Amino acid sequence: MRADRSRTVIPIRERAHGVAMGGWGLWLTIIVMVMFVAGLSAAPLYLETAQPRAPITGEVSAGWPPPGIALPAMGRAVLAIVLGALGAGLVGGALRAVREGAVRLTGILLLAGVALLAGSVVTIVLDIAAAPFSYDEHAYTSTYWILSSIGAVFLGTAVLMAAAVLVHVLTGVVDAERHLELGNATVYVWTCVALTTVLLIMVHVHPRLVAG
Amino acid sequence: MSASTSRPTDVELLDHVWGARPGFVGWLGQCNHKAVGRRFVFTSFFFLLLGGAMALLMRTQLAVPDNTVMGPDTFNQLFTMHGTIMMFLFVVPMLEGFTIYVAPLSLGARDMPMPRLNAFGYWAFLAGGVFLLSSFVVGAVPDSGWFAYVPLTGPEFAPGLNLDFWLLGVTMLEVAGIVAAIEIVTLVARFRAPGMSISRIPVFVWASFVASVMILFAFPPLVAGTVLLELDRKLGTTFYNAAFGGDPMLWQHLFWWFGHPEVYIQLLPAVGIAAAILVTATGRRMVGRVAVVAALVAIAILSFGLWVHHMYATGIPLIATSLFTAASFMIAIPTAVIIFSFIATMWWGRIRWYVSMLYVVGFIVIFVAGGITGVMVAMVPFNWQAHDTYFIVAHLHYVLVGGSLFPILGGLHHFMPKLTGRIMNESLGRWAFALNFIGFNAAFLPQHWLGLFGMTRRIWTYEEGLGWERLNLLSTAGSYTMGLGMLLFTINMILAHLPGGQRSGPNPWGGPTLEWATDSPAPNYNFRSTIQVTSPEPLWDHESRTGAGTGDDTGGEDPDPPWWQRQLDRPETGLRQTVVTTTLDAEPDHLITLPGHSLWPLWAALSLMIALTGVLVDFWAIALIGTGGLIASCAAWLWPGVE
Repeated sequence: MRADRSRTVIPIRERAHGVAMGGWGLWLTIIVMVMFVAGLSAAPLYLETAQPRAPITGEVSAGWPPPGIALPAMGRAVLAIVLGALGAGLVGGALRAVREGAVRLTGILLLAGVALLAGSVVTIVLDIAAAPFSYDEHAYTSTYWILSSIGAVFLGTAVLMAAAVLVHVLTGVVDAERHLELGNATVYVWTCVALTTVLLIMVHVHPRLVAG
Repeated sequence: MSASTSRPTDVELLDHVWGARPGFVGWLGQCNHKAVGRRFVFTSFFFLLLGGAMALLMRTQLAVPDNTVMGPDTFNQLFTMHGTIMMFLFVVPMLEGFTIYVAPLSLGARDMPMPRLNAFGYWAFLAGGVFLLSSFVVGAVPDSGWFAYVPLTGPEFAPGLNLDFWLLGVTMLEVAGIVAAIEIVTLVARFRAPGMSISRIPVFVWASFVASVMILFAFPPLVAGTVLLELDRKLGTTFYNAAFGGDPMLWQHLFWWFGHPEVYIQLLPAVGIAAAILVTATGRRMVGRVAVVAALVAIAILSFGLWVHHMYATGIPLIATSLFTAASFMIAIPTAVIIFSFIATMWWGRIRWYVSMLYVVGFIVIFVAGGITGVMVAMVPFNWQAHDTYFIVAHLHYVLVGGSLFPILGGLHHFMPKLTGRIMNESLGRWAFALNFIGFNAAFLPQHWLGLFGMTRRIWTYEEGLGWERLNLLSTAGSYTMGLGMLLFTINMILAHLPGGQRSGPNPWGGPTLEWATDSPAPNYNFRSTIQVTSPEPLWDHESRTGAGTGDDTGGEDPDPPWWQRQLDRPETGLRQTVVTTTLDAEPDHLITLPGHSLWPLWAALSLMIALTGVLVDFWAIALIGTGGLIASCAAWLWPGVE
């Protein structure tokens, strides 16, 4: 994140201060992502609040999800978050390795991180495919499918980001002193894991909480 | 090369390093803030004319009772596209264009911090505009209002592609707005001239900065809302379908979460433009400058707590409406601070009545009127009476035309010399202003009474004998008068750029901020020597160095510049380097290298458009190709080698 980690920076003072341009861009992008997830999360929160408190006649059923729609198991979602967190941890480990000048280890850790993050994406996709309902049965089932899918997309972009930095490492433009892109990628990947966790909590944990 | 030496002069070298590549491909690949800013300004001006023409067609239909110029379907399409164009394709892109062109100059920077992202923002904006307007070509024009209320826009009541064009096009425009906002915030944070501490940032730049921060918080929820609605339409999800546990009100909350701050996103940079004109035309510092900046920030914060006042008639609990009424009243306080500061500046200054200044006065008069009716509609009982009537149409046009269009028209007069090096004719400009001001008030003042007499919004015709005939005819006559004013404005703009048009010097109006220190139009490199700012009006004080290199005491070159300044002034490395300063005090911190020519932003925007077109026509292979193209473009964009 620090400006003096950027390859394009030439310090005027003893060392460059503050957050680099790319760091500013990243943090502002994170604000956008958080607000996007806030908008998405508003859907289940608002829709659950607006549900009738007791069963009524007609097509609308009370509850979130209503009777007849079984909540999917949480195992795969937990596994996806664990894999994502491990992947993000390895990307963070790569950052530590590059700071110590271990460029080869950096590449290996990044590659492993990319693999685990990709595994997390696949796990979420399998979780969605195994859901005991379709996306068009009820607002809850729509929420489940779409918010989980968007979580997978977030992690997918994290995979691409980490892979792009891996290319930078393999082409030799990252070293112990100048590795801003790896620092940014670490923050981005962790953000994606956190936001995906929020989305998965909205579809797995939130219904269980409101059901008492 | 200089004639007398084999080495290029500093200016030649700077011009070469910061210039565009030759030819059409070079033009396409320009990422410099001036090229991108100009494109934003003139493209959005074209959209203004288009949206205005649609308004004239609507007013023609409503001129007399039982008129048959067009049917209800066409009328629905016109009011939808008029609102959409004005909101998404004109005001915000125009203001971002002004900021992208002028703010780096006002701050003494050489470019925006992420030039390729900047170019991507423009291409995404253009692609979004083309995407939306292509709905006319295929006969599937959006027709459910610019707010796209569910369930009217759901799959049951809006079959066909009409709303898909709207949802996907608006999403692309939102993306364009967000990337421009990221650029502007970063620019203001770190790309300021040495000495330009946060207390010395021009008011216009402050206003654009605040609006950009608002965009970061306001636009993403709308993107979320449009994504969910498009999924309801395309895949059959049920987020907004009450029959399956969804709720149409969710859309209104998500939309107005964006929609109300959007009003102020459109207002604040326009207020900044008005402030820049005002200070220049009165020849004195802004009265209560710090209070004005504080008011801008206060408005930004309060604007996020007002969205429910658009939803009073939806059955919101009374306690909630009371809270939002109070918040709506509160925002009048910082707004009044700005208005009184403007009036005090005029009071104590010596006003030179440039055309741009006339538009500022027009802004104050019209916007205050719109603000007062805003306080009226913030009251729940009155709101219930006036809701969805022409009173609201009149109110929102007083706010948006007064608060945004008039400052923008003034800004075009004021900044045209810097944008293109030409000055618009003042006499023609006065006529255009008079027609616009009189025409606007004749068009919209009667609509207040029409609303109170019960004329509802969005009706395509009305029966005789309701007492609406004369007021509607007056309103239509006023709109044509304003149309004439806009035509005159456009002719003036064109004439200024014909071979005989008046050329401008660096500072034709006597402006105090750094953009007026350099040539008109600004050269490729913006400034060629040391800048050291010591006040908010560096061209009016006697201590600031303004980068003009004129050799005089106040604006001249530093006789003994530091090493980094020499490196920037004579870029023998061939790199586009610029100085980055600290966030609060703007002390020189480091140099960075910026990328120049790149076509990847264009390919990325085109790929995004292809992907959304695939979604539009349910051809998922095309959507995947577009997504793949987007990923490939971003990969090429990020490939090492810029440095």
